Amino acid sequence: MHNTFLLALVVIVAIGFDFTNGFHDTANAVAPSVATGALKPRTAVLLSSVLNVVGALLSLKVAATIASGIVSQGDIILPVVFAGLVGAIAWNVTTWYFAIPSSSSHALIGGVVGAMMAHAGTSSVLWSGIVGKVLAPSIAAPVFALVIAALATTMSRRLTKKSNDATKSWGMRAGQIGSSSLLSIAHGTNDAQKTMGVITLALIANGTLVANSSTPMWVVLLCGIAIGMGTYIGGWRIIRTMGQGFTRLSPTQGFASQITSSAVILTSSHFGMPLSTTYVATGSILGSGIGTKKRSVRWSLAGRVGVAWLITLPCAAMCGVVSFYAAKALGYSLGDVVMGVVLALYCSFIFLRSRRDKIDASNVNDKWGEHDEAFEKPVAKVAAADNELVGV
Amino acid sequence: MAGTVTVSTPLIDWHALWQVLYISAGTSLGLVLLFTIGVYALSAFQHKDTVVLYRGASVLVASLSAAGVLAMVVWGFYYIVNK
Repeated sequence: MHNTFLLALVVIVAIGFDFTNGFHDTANAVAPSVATGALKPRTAVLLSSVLNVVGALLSLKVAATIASGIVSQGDIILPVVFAGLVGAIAWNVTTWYFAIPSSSSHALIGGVVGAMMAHAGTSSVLWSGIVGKVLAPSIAAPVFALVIAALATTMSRRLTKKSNDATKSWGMRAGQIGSSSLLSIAHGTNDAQKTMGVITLALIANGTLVANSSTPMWVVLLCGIAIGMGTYIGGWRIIRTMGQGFTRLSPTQGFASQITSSAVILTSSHFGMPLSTTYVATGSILGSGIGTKKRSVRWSLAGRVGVAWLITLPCAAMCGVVSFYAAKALGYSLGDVVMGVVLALYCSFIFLRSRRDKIDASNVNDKWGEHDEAFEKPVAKVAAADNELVGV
Repeated sequence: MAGTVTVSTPLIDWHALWQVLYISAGTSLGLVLLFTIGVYALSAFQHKDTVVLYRGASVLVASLSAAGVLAMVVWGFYYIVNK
């Protein structure tokens, strides 16, 4: 009885995490299209949400990695999964409030690892899996994306130097609709699977599935729908950071960065690597900024985001540890209910605070950092160059 | 004297990372190149001063690049789903 109750609680919170993953990461797929005007904001998030669901149904390799490659399946219990999810949601919502494009995947993995260490010690964590399957791809993939996007942007910019501005602008914006769609599918393929992996882990912990089982179809569908709904809500705060903050995106840059992100994420998903789609998308956008003539990138913002990336895993792990011990002190069933209520209150508080400086579809493309003189000068030049280039 | 050979698995799968790099670099640079060529050809087609033969060739190049982009995307998904 208790197990079924806890399992249901874990599944509900996991779906909640998948939802936050959707709205936190909407920016990865739609920010360049929204920033360049290739798609209207509402159309962009609708298209992305549908294609995230499609992506979620494509592959299960990342889910398998999460379910079997991060922590020891033999030591896992439901409260560990629950505490990990609570930690991940708390971190996701906090970074969303501060408009920081941090990794939902690292928040999830950090939360589960922290809770697992609190429950069964460090030996229950598969450190080789953490380093080999999480950290190494997470460091390498954004660097790959940055370099490839810089090359792609430079190549495309030089090839279309003499072409008709209006045709180029129209063509690249049309291409962005395709590349944004591809990126949404890629995001669904990689990110929805992480929650599928965690629910599979919970089912194994509960004894519903035997170890190393594959993910049931109802889990796949539920996760696909949850991430799609989260995406449709639209994490406008982060869309604004990624679309307007790092660089002034032209249609050529937007197209190159989205194609690069899609290729890196889909290839990594194919090899079962649960990388951060946010880091890849950020790397591509920075790369597309480097690929412009003026190489104009707001590095101060990139640095702040980099710091957030560094602390995501340990902070989510800490949240997982605190959540696990709090639930344990109250008795797992009651404790998990209390932690669920605390989490819901925290999320409501953050949501209400975010209303003070609301960012939505109407102001997502407003000018970034009007008082940031150090950056505005080069941006103004780039903007002028872009306008000349695309005939705006 | 019989002995056992221990094969240690490397902590980081460099081979897989290397594959991710060259497959994603090849795919994205290829797609961007094909699409850019298509846009350039379309731009040349719209130029009013160009001769008919050149305009025809531009349409052909634009069509071929569009087909190339489509083929690469379809192949990519086939590869992901089936391999």
